[in-house]
Amino acid sequence: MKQKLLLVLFLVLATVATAFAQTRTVKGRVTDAETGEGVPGVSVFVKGTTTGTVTDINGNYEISVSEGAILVFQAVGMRTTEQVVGAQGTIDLAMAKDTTELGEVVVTAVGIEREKKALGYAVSTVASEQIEQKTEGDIGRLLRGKASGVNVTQANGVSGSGTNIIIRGYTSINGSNQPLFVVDGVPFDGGANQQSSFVDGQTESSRFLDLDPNNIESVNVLKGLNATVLYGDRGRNGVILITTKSGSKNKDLKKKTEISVTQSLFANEIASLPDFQDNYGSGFYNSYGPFFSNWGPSFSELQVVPHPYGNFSNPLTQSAFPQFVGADYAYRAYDNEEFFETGIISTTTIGIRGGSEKASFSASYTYYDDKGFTPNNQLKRNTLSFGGNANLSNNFVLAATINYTNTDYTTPPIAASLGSGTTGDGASIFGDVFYTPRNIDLMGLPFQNPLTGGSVYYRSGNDIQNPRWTVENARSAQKVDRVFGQMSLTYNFKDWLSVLYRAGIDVYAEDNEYFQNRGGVDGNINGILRTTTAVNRIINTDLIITANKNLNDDFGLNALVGFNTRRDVFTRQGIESTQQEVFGVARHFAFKNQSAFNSFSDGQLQLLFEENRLGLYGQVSVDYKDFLFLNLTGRNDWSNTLETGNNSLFYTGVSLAADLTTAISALKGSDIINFLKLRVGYGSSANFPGPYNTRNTLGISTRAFLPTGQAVPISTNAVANQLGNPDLKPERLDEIEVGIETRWWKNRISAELSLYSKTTNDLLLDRDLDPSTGFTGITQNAGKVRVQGLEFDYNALLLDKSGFQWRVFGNFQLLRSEVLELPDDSDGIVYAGFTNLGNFAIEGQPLGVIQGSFVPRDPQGRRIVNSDGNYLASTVIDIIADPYADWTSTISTSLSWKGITFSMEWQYQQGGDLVSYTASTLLGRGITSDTDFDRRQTFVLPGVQEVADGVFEENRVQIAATDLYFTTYGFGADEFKVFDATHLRLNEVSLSYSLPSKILSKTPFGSVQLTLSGYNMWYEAFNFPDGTNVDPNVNGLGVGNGQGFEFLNGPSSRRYGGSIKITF
Amino acid sequence: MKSIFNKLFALFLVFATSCEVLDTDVQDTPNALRPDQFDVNLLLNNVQLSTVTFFQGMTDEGMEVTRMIHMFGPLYQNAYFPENFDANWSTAYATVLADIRTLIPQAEDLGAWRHTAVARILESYVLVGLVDYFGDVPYTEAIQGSDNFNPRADSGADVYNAALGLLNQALAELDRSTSLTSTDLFLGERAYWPTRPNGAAWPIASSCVSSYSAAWWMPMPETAW
Repeated sequence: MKQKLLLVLFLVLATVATAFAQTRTVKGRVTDAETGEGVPGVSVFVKGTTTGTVTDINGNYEISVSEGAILVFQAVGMRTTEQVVGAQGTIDLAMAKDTTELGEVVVTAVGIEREKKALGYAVSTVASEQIEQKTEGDIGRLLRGKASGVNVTQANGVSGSGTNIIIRGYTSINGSNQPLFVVDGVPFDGGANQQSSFVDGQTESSRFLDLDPNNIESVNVLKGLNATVLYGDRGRNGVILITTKSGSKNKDLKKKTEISVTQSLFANEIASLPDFQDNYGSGFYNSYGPFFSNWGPSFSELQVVPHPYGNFSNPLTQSAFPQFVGADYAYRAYDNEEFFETGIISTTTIGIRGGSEKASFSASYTYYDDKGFTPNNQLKRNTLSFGGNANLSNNFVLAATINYTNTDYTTPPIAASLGSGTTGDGASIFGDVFYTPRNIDLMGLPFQNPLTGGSVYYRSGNDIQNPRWTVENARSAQKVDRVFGQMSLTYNFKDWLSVLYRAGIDVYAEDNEYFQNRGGVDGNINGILRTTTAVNRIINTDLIITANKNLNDDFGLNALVGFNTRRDVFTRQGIESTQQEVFGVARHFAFKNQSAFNSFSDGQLQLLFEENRLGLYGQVSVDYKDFLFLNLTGRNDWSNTLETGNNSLFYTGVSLAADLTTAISALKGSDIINFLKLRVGYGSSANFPGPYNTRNTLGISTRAFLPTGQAVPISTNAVANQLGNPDLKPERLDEIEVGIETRWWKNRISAELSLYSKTTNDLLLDRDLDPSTGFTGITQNAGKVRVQGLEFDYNALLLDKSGFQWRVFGNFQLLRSEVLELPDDSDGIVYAGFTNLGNFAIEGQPLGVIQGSFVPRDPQGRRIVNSDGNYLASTVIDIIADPYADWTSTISTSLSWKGITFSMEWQYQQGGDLVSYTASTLLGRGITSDTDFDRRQTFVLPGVQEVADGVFEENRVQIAATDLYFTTYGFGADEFKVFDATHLRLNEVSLSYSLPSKILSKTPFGSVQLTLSGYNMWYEAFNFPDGTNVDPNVNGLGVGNGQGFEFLNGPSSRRYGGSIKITF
Repeated sequence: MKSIFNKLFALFLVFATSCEVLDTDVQDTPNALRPDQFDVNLLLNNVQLSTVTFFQGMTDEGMEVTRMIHMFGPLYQNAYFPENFDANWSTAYATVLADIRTLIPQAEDLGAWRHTAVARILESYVLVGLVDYFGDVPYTEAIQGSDNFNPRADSGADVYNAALGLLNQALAELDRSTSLTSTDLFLGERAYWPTRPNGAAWPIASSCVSSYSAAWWMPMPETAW
């Protein structure tokens, strides 16, 4: 390690120029031709020598030259200019912006700005116009479709729920695949602290929800491993580099201070409401009955039935509703859609930016209030941000940002439902409501027992928890206070050598509450209250030495060496209480039993995790004649989660970029091909496991059992079932990426293509073990996974005439995943979902292929029907679905004329399967327009019956409509729950108008902009039954590695409204 | 140059906001106990409770097949899945037998013969239950952790014999005086444990062993290991 450090240092020191004795000194000032302000950091050097300097903060420089020498002025984003040194002692220069090359500047690793053409890897940039003033407050969801290779899926459309971000596919089976968030150079925790499984109840937000999109200056997504080497192992899944307005230098110094005020108002509706049929009510086989299912007689056949609340089997429940005994009830269709609301979303942002050449600052405050379409779902967020940077007199530059966020999120509980209510330990607001029988007056019938406060609903056993009771009596809430920020001090030794020290902190306290009153039907019927407080602290420091020098006329050098420390501490405290003594009181003192365990997950509520990471990294970039760029990076990580000997890993990256338009003289100055660049790169990274996986443990249960007649429960010890692995090593990832970047036709068309292949070796696998070994699981390094893909981005200005502009831009991506290797004795490893219906890692298949039950086939491949005419369901599982899309694409178009802009963003996904319990249950219960046909007819399933051993004959048995839909499509083999999720979506549409400056020049306003916009206004999933309206943007397994499932926990939202932005 | 670098590094250490971050040694988890912190009393409690879980789990299928309780299906082809017995297999080996293997050496050291006797009796009970249902099951190669990830099955007759041996050993230990009293969830009083082998009282008759045949068992669907 020491040797590597010395080597890199030597390279840096070797570039120190020795001064030659020259004849005289020339000085001057370099200014920006547009603004007239001095430009700092401009490289001024004498052509043909190694003599050079850099302009200071005011744009002044001083250099020793001999007469007749040529001075070259070079700066990022500006046109390189040459000046002959004459007799004058002062040479001033007004530098013009580099419009012909449109030298785009992007922020790369550790906050370094580079020209895009010098990069050997793909970077996607999302500008602030695409993310501010939007209907969504979640930065993750705003990035959906905006950058190729970035796959964003929400858990569901509830305001405040979690969001998955997967960049370039899944490369780890049991580790995290979510990217690293870096805000103003400092890591930011974007995880979701999910406490229970998706089966029992999962509503937690992803913590990047604490970021205010209206305070974001730009988002750069580093996708490949070559780009993220400097970030260490946590950057292996891509890095989302966010520069906030507070953290960016104010480049536009035209006005001294600018205040902007934005106010938005949107409506939030449910987008995926099914099309209910209005002809049939509850029952089975066309007979009426107050059941789950909706296969009763048609409304024309029957008008009146006994009141469902007049027949409770529990006489105590009945005694609360004497008025319904013997009463009549109208058997007709009711408007149950009114259960969902139209929420109002309001965002108010005030921003102030100002400064001078020496110092600038930025402050911002946003209040975001998002009411969901589900009753009692609300997200309120206050964000306050302040940042500034100052150029101090003695070559120091100080920059700092400080942010505070307060997030307050509440929702009724959400858990998985398999079509007959929830199956886990907790209740779910969506568990039953979508298949409420058409004749049940959800909004009109009482939902609460007036005597006990408990839930009451239409089945005689009162065994469905009334959704309206859940709204009023159960909730899952998170209140978060978060402070994050950084301070950095840069010292410029010389104009080409500087050192930066940056310290960043990210601390949040998350108060979680899970509560249900007693008297429910799902979950703990005696009432439950679980409160936990989690505190997460990240303390990150960086020390970086940078050198930036032109070695001579042809070669330029850019080098850095850095040392990084990062400490993550997660602590959690909590209590769970059961047996509520006083109805309606959600405090622990009103409950009888207290426990230190989460009864849903059997996990402890008190937890402590400490993780330390040390990293030493370096980067050397050499450019040759401004057209060939070679980049070498390396990093060594040390972690405390693995035993000594395995806890250090070194990885590297190398890339080469060639700007052919500068190199090939035939292309220089061509009007058709303005820019053509080829790039190729290799990068590697690692994945250190979480802490505490290497050693065995012992379990203790202090209140295991209370023997009869005893007052004190007995305790037990248990040898833990997880076998520790002291030889555990980190995963290793390698990636090769090639790409082309090109611009045509006077820069009106730009396109970028990337191809990559990314492999993970020594996969960290949570393997199941044969329990006869004494243990049921172990984490091991075994296996290989590979993702290969293609990303294409384009931007075309098709029309630009007399103030009218028409632009089309978008991206296209496809990826293929494959599990290359698994341990020999492993047929398949399930890592998400259920063990008999979940995502599997199987050799030769995409990672995450779905296995479930199917209909057995005869030797000719025909489905086998059993003796009563229904399809058999297998008892073993096989591959039934592939959640990966064939390809996805986003196409946006914008038309603008004078101050008016109209734009649309369309998203399309081809292929990809979704196991949808919403679709299968809606069909199985006979609720939607898809089952609105004459139900007295009979059906014959296509298939064969086994009439004798091995002899199959065509099936001729007739079955009822109820059998076909309930027994087979709804609740039969899992293969009927698989649907192809090809879909088209109008993700965004907006119309905006900016008042012309002529009108505003007499007013105190700098600009006024009015916008009308809509989000998710229309979508169509072509292969789903028409009436089910399933929105494939859903992940029923929550935030994690699962994909392709939805368990009646994923309705989506549609938002539309307007906003106004005024600047002073 | 070197002095500047040294000064920088010193400055860096001064500013480093947390020196704990420089520690890259692995720590034991604060969220669980270490394997050497066990108490034989508590382990024996778990063995007893888990044997009950094993009994309840295994006898469900037996009762369904003999129609003492309802067998859900609705067809014979759909009644049972390969993973039906997963939890019971896991309780038997990973819980009961693993805990017994851990507690017996320590109990012998302490002279806690009551503990070892109860543990051996329950081990033999679980082994007999496993053989009754599955026929040939792992025993001699079982509970070896990372030393053997795929224990081979021993013949059922051998396992029955081993269970008998355990019972005899347990009897001898019940006669010895013990240094530790244990919590006995089954019988509560020493007096109820048999002190002499009584042929009729033992659940395994020697005739079972001699007439053992693997052909007694119908082929079970392959388990998922």
